[in-house]
Amino acid sequence: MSTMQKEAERAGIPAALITAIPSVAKSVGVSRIITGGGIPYPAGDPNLPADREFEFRKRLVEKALEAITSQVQEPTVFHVTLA
Amino acid sequence: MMAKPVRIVHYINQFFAGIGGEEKGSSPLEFCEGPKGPGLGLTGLFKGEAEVVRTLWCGDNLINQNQEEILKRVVELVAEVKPDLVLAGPAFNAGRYGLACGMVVKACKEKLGIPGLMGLFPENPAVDIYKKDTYIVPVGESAAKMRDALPKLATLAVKMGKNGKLDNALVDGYIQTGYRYNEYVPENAAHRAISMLMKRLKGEEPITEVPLRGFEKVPPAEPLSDLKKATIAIVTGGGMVPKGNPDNLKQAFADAFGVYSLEGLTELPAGDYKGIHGGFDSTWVDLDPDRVVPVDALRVLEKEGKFAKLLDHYYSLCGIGTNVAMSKKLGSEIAEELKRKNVQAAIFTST
Amino acid sequence: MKLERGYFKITDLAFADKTGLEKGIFKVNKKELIERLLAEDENHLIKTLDLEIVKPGEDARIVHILDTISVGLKIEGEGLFMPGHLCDPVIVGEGKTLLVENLAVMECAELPWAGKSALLYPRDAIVDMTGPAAGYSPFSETFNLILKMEMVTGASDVEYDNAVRSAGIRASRYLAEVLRNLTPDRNEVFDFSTPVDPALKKIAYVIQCQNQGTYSNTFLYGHEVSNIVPIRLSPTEVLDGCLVSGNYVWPCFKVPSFIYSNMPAVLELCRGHGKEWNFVGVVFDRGHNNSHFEKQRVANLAANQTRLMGAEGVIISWEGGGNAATDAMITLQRCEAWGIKAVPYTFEFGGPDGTEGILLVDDVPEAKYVVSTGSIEKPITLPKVKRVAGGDCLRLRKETGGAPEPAEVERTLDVITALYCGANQSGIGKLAGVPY
Repeated sequence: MSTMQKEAERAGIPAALITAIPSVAKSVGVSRIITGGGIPYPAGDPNLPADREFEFRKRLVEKALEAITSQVQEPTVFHVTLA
Repeated sequence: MMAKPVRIVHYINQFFAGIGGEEKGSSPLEFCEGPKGPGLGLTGLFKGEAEVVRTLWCGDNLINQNQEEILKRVVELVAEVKPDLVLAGPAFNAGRYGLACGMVVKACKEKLGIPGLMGLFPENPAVDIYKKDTYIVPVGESAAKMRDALPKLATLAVKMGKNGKLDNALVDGYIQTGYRYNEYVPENAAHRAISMLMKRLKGEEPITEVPLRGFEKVPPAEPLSDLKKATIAIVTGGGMVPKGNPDNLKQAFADAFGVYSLEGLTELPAGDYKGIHGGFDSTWVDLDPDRVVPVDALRVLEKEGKFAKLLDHYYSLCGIGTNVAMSKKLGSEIAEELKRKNVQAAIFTST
Repeated sequence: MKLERGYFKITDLAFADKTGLEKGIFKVNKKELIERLLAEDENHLIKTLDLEIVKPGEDARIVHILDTISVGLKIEGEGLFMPGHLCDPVIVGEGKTLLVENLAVMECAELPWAGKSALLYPRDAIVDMTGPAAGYSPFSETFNLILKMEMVTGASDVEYDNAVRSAGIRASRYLAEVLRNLTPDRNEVFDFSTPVDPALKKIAYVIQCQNQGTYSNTFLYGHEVSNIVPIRLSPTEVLDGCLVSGNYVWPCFKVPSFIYSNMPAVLELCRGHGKEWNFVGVVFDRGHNNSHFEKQRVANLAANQTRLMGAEGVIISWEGGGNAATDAMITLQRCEAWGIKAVPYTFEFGGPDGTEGILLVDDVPEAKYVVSTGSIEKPITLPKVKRVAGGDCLRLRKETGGAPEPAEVERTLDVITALYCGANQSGIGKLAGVPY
C-alpha cells in the first residue's frame, strides 16, 4: 500500500496512510504516515471498550485529514493519542 | 592443436583513438584493421587466445546525436569481419562515451546476434540504461585505472568469446544486470551464512547475495487547501470485501482491486463483509470491518461538516506480496479513478 | 551441556508383520500402529487413519502436509525427545539421543477451512518426490511415513491441531522405541560444558519463529509462544526437540519440527564449536509482532540476549513473510548498532526474472551482507505424477471458495508458495537466487 499511496501523490492527490508499521512506510517513502492501532486492526484497537475504540478511530482519521492538509517535505509520521 | 583465437571488434572513442579530447567530440566514425589504443594493451593480455581484428572509433557527441545513421554504419563494419564478440570501452565514468559503448554493443547484439562486453565505472549513468542488454565489467573512475581495467576485460572477453556467455555475476564479477534465477549452489544457505559471517569477523567484506534495492522518491503532493469542500476516498490494502468475495480477489499477490459501494452506509456492518487478506488474522476486522475501512468515523466527520463528502464507494485489495511494478500499476489506476471522480484526497489503510 | 547424537540411516521403509529395524530396513506393523494411534486419540477426533509410505525417487506427490516430525529417542539424560508434548516439559539437551536421520513422520489431513480467519487456516502443502519441484523441499530425500487422517466435523481448530500433533508425536515415539537397544551407524558429540579457546570468535544464532494463533503456532517445551520474551537456549535443547511446529498456514514459510531438531545452522555451528568458533548459544523469539513498538521491544530484547552472551557475530533467520522480516531486520539493526555483526538468510521476491521491484520485502540499510534462500516468485510447473499420498485432491484459493482440484495432474503455479518449506527458511536447501 505504501507504493500505492505514492502513486496517488504522484497524481497530485494528497493521501495519508494509516499503518501499524510506520518504519516500513517511511523507508518506502510514503510522505504522510499515521501510526495505526495494530497490524490486524490498523484503524482500531480491540483492547479498548467500544466507545473508546471509536474515539481512537475518529482521532486517527482526523489526524489523516490533518496530514492531508499539511505541507510535508519528506516522509512524516503523525501520531494520535487517546488522552 | 590450439583453438582459433576469439575474433573481437573493439569500439573506442576519439580520445582513446588518439584524435583528440572533448574538442574533437564530433569527429567521424572511422576504423582500422587490428588493435588501436587500449586494444594494444589487450592484445598482450589475450596471450593468443583472442585478437582484435578491427577497431572502430567515433566522436562521443556525433554518435549520441546521430545514433541511427552512425549505428547503421557500425553494424555494417562489424558484420564485414564476422567477430565472435564486440568489446566496447573501457569508458570509465565518461557519460557520453559510456552511452556510445552501450548503443554500439546493443545494436550489434540485436542486428547481428553477436554478444557484447564493455567496461564502465559502476556510477556511469550508462550502467542503469544498458546493464540488462549487455555484460558490463566494473572498472575505475578514470583512464588512470586503465592498467587495472584491461586484465579484467581481457579475461572475460576470452571466456565470453569461447562460450557465447558468462557465468553468474558473483563468479565472473560483472555488474549485476538485475536478472536473478533460482539455481542449485554447492552449499546450503545456512553454511553460506556462517561462512559470510566468519569472513566479516575476520575483517573482510564479503559480497552480499541479495543487494538492497532502493525505493523511488516521489515528491509529496501539495496539501489539500480547502478540506470543507473536499471529497475524500478510502483505499484499503486490508482485503475487506463483501461476504463471498464477489470479485474473486486474491488473498496475496494482488493483480486487481475491488470497488464496493458505501451508499447509505454509516459503517461497514459485521457479517456482511469479510477480511480475506492472507497475511494477518482477520478475526478482529471481521468483528468490526471499520477497524480497517473506517467508514463510521468518517461519516461522523462528514456529518459535522469537516469535509464535504465521503466517496460513495471504497477500493479494496490484499496488500501482501504485491511486487512494486504491480503496486504501481494498480496504484496509478486507482489514482486515475479518483481524479475522474473528483476526489481531492484519499485515506489509505494497510496492515 | 553435553549431548551425544547417534544416527541411523535407513535404506528402505516397508510395512511388515513386526515393527523393527534390521539391516537398514525399517519395518512398520501398519495395523498395530493405526490401532494404537486411534486408541490413544482420546477425543475421537480422527475419523479415519491410514498409513502410507513414500520413498525418495518415487513418482509421487504428497499433499495436505501439516507438520513433519523426526524419529528420536533419548536413551540417556533427562526428558523425552520433543519434551512437553504428551509428557512433562523437562529440560533436555544432555545425555544421548538416537535418531533416524532419513525417516520422517508426516501428518496429512484436510483440516476444515472453518471460514474464520483469512490467515489462520492450513493452505495446501505439496512435496514432489521427483521432478522440478523436488528440490524445494528436503523431504524429497527422506523416507516418509504418512499419517493420512480424516477428521470428524464440528470440533474446534485448537482441538484438531492438538489431535494431529499428538498422533504424529505418538507415531514418532512408537517408531523410536525400535532404536532403544540398537547400535547407531555413527555418533557425534556436542560438548558445551567445557570452556573453549578464548581467541575463538563468539557466534550466536537468532531463531525467530511464527506464532500468530492456532495453525500458525510454534511450541517451546510444549506451549505456544504468543507472549514469549526472547530466550536463550542451548543448541542441544533445540537438537533434542524443544521446538515443535504447529505452523501450517503458508506452506513455503515454515520450519517443521523435523528441521528444528536438525536445524542446519545449529548443527554446523555445533560441529565447529571449540574449533573454528565459539557457539555461545541460540536466542529464540517470535516475529509478526503487531505494532512497531512491540517489534522494537522484541528485537531489542533478542539483540540484547546475544550481547549478554558475548556474541561478536550473529546469524539470523525467521519464519514467515514480510511482517516477520521487519522484526528480524530491526533485530539485525540493533545488533549492528552494538557492533555485533549480523548475517541473515532469507528468501527473495523479484518476480520471474528477478528484475521486478524489490528483492526483500523489508530491509534496513545495515543489512549489507545477506544470504539468499531463493526467490519465491518463480513460476513452477508441477508434472503429472503417478501417485498422490496424504490425500486425493488439492485445495487451493480459499478466498474464492477453495473447491478441491485434482492433485495428480500437471499444473503451473505462478509462485512457489504451495511448496512445503519452499522458501527454505531453515537454510537447509541449496536453491539460491543467483545474479546475472
